Amino acid sequence: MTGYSRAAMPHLDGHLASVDPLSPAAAFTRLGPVSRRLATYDAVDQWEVETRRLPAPLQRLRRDARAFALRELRPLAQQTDLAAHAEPGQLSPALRDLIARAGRAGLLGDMLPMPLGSGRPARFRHPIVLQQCIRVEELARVCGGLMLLLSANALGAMPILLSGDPSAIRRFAMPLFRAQRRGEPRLFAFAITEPGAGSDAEEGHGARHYKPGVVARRDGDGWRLNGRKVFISGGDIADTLTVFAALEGEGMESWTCFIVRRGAPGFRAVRNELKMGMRASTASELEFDEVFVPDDHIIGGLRRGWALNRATLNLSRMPVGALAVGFAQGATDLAYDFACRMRLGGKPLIHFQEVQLQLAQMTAETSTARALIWQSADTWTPRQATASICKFQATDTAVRVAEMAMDLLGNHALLHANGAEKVFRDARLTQIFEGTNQINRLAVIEDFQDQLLARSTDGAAA
Amino acid sequence: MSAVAEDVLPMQALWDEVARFAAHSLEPAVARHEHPLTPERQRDIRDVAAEMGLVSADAGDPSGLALWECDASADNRRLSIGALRRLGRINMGFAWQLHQSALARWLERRLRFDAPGWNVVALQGRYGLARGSLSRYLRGHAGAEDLALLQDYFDADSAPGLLVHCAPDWSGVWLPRLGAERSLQWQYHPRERLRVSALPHSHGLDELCSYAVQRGEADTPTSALAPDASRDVMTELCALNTLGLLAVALGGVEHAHALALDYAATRRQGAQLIREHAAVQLLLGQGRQAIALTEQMLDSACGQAGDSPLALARLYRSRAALQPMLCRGSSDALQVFGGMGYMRDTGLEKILRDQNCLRVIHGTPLELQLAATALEEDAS
Ligand SMILES: Cc1cc2nc3c(=O)[nH]c(=O)nc-3n(C[C@H](O)[C@H](O)[C@H](O)COP(=O)(O)OP(=O)(O)OC[C@H]3O[C@@H](n4cnc5c(N)ncnc54)[C@H](O)[C@@H]3O)c2cc1C
Repeated sequence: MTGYSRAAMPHLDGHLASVDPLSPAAAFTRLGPVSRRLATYDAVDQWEVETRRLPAPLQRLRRDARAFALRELRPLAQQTDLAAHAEPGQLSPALRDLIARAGRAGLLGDMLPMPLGSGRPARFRHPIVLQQCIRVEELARVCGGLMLLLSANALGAMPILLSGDPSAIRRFAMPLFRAQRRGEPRLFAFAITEPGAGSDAEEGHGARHYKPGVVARRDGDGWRLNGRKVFISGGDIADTLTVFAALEGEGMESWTCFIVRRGAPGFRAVRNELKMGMRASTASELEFDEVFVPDDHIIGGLRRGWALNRATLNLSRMPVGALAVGFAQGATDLAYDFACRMRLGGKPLIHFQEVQLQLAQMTAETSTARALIWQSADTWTPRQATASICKFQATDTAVRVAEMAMDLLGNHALLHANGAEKVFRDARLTQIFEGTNQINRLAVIEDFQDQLLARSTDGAAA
Repeated sequence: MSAVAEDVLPMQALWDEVARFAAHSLEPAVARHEHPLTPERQRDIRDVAAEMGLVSADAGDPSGLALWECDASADNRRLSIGALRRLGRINMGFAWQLHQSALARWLERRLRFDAPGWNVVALQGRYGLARGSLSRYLRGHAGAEDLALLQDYFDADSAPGLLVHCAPDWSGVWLPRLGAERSLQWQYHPRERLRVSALPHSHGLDELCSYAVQRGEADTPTSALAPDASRDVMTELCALNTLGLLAVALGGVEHAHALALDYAATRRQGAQLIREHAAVQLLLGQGRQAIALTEQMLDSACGQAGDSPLALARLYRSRAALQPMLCRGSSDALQVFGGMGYMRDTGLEKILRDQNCLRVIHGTPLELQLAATALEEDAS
């Protein structure tokens, strides 16, 4: 009667074709113009739906980041993941080139607006942390390791920017941002972790009892650093490192942020770790043997390091949540591709209801995590609890979604070429670094401590 | 090991022997987790396992002591599970490989066909567990649609063929084929008669490699099992495979848990040994729980009579619940190590990758649930 043949129109099993009068897509077109403003159907995917919700400058940022990731990261992702781990200080020509391209594209110095950094000024009506979240998600979606290679840079620069000291920003941040813009492969790295302090470098209760491993001794008009840092992302190839050390004879409350330059006498990368994933990025053990740092290379002042460290973590944990969203999105996209490509019994898997349910769940978990991040990151002053919630919630989601992708691919998930297993290996790191998810949960409670003590019956018992 | 009468096996002594073999022959070869076992070394160790009688050299007279040798004997099952578990504690890839070749021997005995070398059974078709179709087939309820789907599921004629995960020096594959009588038959294909593509870089089980295998042109003898017998064979293979997967995974999580316990007893953070933190105790608790529940389940499965479709459904449901717990227990052990756990040298990340592999091989939790439901259809 409608002149429309159900069987002939393309549709997934269990669903009506979108031209069927009972499908919302067709039904809504028959509504009047006023109703259509409230009930409409647009044949675009979830990514596009969410992008369109952003203000124009951030939409552009998101689109540019995705285009860059597809153009520059995708061709390198699988081969870099399989390549042997780099020797300390070695950077393959392809990765060197990638860093140069990212710098030229303005991706490395965009924590500051042009001309100080490389960010488009219009974006800076919106918080820096939200910008970082949007960018890093798109890079992680395509390759975790390459994303970390490029993004550990922002973490390293953060203490300098957070110090609010124009002289430090002018002397240490801007020259590097300019060099990056010119295509020089020069990066920052952030070094807090020591063999004896991982969690203790991220939470105060442990730090209070920790005997610092990297110590600065006064020497003339500067300081001599001694000790070791471990697991420093890009620490072996960085041009400029923000290194946290205690002052001789004092505890962690004396932590101070020092600028150490690649090639400084006594400073060397001892080894790079062999990692489960994120293999395009190095995690280096760094040795400081009487490394001299002049007074004017101290960031934020003596004994301000702990504050700068904690403030940096508050700013960086949301982007870590965001990169985890990128993993979840990457895994989801791979699962959709597989479901549309792989056939069983003469039809693509996407026709099967259990596959549809699984994909919908992955989409929902990813979108929920993204909503949390975008909502939380829309602030200039990230609060500790919010940052930590973003970090552990989104990273747990990422690993769960990566597992769901592996489940959906079944034994095909084991094959490197299908991508899902790499997402899992990359995503698994996010539950560990920037404070383990256990430490991040405790950071939430620490943040609310005073209110909780006020509510508890024996508040004085602390 | 010498032959012993059924059901009176000196279980503990045999397991001790397996543990000694694992400690002396296997462990030194896999101690550097970041360096996968070489195929040559692997072959040597496997030969020692064969000499010990852990896998039978041919399909002839069973000694009762090799893995999965006497399918109906509860003792042999207990022996096999205990042995795979002990091997899995040292190296899951190697244990999985012995299990696979023991399954092939089991099939060869059932079919009275002696295939030389190290073989594998391609038990899993193109994707998943064929939704409910394979289960309905095993119950003798397969309709035309199920049979059409199974035809495609087990299609090893067209590209890309079926996936197998095994040691690089495998000799041949047993491929299932839905025969004219609508029953599943088995064909042995020596490697040289197959079209084989190596698919390098699997997620885990680094000792093994993944291959897509397609039937070659040459004619191959095909089993002629009666429909009932063909269903029984497949049901038993699926049941033994489920038990084997869980036993190896149990060994893996025990290994991860032991490493995590040791580490938690030496690493200090937060002003004390990390094992004193509730957060770490909860992480360790996941491993302990996975171990206890899997152990219990395997124990009760050994006492279970026969491998009916309903028994298989119970195994599938258990595996659907346990395999994610085994992954979680291994992942939480890794988490106890913090950043160190992410590094290849500690071995934790390898165990987690291996566990992930065992979770998705021969049915993911979701597929196992669907398959179990179809196995139980009309059974009330
Ligand atoms: C690939 C990689 C890249 C990294 N990049 C950098 C970098 O660029 N810069 C940098 O400085 N660091 C970096 N790190 C270090 C990272 O931040 C630490 O690994 C992380 O904070 C955990 O510390 P840890 O490894 O010492 O684990 P530990 O602190 O030893 O933790 C071990 C276990 O104990 C638990 N635990 C510890 N303390 C407590 C407590 N007080 N209460 C309850 N539970 C506790 C932890 O949750 C964990 O489960 C990187 C790490 C990795 C793996």
